[in-house]
Amino acid sequence: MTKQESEEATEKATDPSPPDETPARPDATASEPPEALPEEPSRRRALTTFVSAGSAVYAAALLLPAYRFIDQPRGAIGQGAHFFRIAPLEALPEGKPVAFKVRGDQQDAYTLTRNQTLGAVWLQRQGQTVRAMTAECPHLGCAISLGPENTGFRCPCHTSRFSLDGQSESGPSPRSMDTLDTRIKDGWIEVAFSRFRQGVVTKEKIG
Amino acid sequence: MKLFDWLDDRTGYRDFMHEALDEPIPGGARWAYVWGSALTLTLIIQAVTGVLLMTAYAPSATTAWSSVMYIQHQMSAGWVVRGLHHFGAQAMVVLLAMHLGQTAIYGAYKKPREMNWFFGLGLMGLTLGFALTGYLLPWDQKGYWATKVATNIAGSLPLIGAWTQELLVGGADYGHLTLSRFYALHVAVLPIGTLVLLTLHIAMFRRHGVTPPAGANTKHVDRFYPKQVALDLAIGLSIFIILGYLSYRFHGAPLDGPADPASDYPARPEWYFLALFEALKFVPGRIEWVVAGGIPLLLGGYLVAMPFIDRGPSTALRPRLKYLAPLGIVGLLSVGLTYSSISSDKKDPSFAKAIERAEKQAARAVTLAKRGVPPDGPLAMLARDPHTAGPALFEKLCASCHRMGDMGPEKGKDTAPDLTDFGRAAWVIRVLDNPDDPMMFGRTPFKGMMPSFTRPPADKEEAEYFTKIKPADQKAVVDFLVAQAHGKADKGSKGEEIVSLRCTSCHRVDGETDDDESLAPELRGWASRAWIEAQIRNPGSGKTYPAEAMDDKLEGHMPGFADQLSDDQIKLIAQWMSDRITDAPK
Repeated sequence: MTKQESEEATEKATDPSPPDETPARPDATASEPPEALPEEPSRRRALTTFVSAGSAVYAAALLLPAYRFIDQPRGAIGQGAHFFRIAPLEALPEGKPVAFKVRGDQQDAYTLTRNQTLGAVWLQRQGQTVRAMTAECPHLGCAISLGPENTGFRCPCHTSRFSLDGQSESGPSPRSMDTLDTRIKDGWIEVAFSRFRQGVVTKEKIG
Repeated sequence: MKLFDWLDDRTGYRDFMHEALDEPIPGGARWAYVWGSALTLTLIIQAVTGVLLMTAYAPSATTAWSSVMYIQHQMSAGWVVRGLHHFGAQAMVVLLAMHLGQTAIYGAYKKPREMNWFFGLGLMGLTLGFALTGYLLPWDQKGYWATKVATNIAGSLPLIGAWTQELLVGGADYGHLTLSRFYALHVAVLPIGTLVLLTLHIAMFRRHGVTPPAGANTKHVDRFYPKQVALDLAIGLSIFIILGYLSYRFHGAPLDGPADPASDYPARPEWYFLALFEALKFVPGRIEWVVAGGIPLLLGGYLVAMPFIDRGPSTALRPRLKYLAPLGIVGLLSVGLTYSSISSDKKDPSFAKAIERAEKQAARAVTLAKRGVPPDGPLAMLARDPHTAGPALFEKLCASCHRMGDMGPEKGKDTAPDLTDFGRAAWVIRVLDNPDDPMMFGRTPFKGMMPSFTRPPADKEEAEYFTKIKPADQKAVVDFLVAQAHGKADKGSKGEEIVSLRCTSCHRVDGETDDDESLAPELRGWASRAWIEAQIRNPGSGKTYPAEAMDDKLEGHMPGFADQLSDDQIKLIAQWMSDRITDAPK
């Protein structure tokens, strides 16, 4: 083997001709130098074209379904208002914001979990109507809490502050707190709970 | 291009490409040499589709099947990816056999290529390992039972058996850890091993080059690129097309029902292990490991020993036939055993029936799962499904006396009314026409208690008073009873009037009857879900039949099942039977 390798090395060093005309590495058993058999240029061109095109087709055939698989089309989740029953209206004191869990059936890919906690909302009663805002900060999604002495809302992560009616006051949040539609049915507060894209100025529903 | 010059200056990639592509092939490019590259190309498909599947698959006993179902039936291109991976795995085994056969026939294991041969054999072992571990991952009936058999065989090995089995299974029982372990093997251990061995295998191949067949003109030399690459790619593309076709034809890969440890599934391994499976039928269980472990070990040992047994320098085929013969014999024997296994299954009607039942259950499981699998998994989902649990419970408890469809005793051996049409017009018409028909109450202790409404009694005197029911009246009665079976009261109908007038001389309607001693059942709500439920729980509760219908003297009357079935189970059977009657959507 070492003999072959050294021969190959000298061959590389001394032979400047293009590879397809280079004589092959001498066979260990052959006494005469092997015949140089240059392929016909047209034939070689056909072969190289086939190899290039074939490899491209092979890669495409593999990568196209791969892309389709990774980038699943978004389902109809969150389209149309879906109201969740939160609490009886009587349970909510006038004015003071109270946080409630939103419970409902959760379809997570293949698993359907009944009566699962889906998120949290801040509810504020004003007479017979209720204002609802999601507890997710519009900045990066931390859970918004109520500040001391009910002066307003604050995000514990990046110190965004919001007024009691959810208006952005200071901090990095790009927009005010996200409000949700509410209705009163049979004495119960129902909220159209959904999620919104974070970190952008406009309120954009994502599910 | 300046960028490439810079890149070449810093990396020397052109030399590398030159080295890789201009590998000389003494004797010329050949179709015979394509199998190694075909394996590598197919391995790329397996790697890409495998990683894709990893992004959606969840290896736990409660989620594995559901996630595979989701990939197969609900994700876009899911079935394509899964199909390619499934059939790609089969292609790997076939190509492995081709590659091994070609190198063995050409004598490529001979000096100085022994190490390359060993690395190749190692890769073969890893590929079979991929096949064995991958089979379990969907956690479906097929994978579960086949793996159970495989690990039990491992467990029967002397000395190391119990230890090996426990290591693989991750404990005494099959569950989360079994799946995680097989998954770790499948996606980490085996791929890393394959990468290492494949690198060494290709490095050895580059060092020694191809083994041209004896008598080839080695003065004729091709370069690897483009001719051999073109041949390799042609095969690779053809395989891809076949895999694509198979995936399309079978819409992905098969997925059986979720693994059920309590079922009687006819476990069969994948086709490439069928020969070994069949061979096990010929040995007593005590020494099973001798066959299951010994044959592969012996075969592997012989392959490892080949370079040392066949030592001559000649690669000519004829003088080496005696060394290749054992491989040929094993090959032929495998084909024979595989064929015998398939044909014996084909001839076995109970196998066909078991498969049919399994397929039905799989289809049902998929239908339900598409609506969402509960967090406690697909098996719990099926257990709560009336259309799965109902017939299963019926088969277990009711079918010893009742027939329904193709369930129950052979025709003529049943001792209770045939329930196939229960709750439907046909059943009512039959009971009005001939209650003592063997399909009705003819083989029960209630035989002779109800008269026919269409045939005169045998007794001549009684026959004189007999008037056949008018077709219009019969239709009204049938409509009334079918309405009951559908859970409707049908108050004020003509049928109700006739039934209250004529049938209550024995039967009860809303508990009212002219003959308190009669054993005839309640007709209000007859064959409704509540009626069936009450009947299964306790036929003598008065809600269906009076308590006297359970008298010991009435040998062969229906027993209550309250102590054999839970309340939920009784409800499941009743719901299923009722849905059958009303053709409710499943």
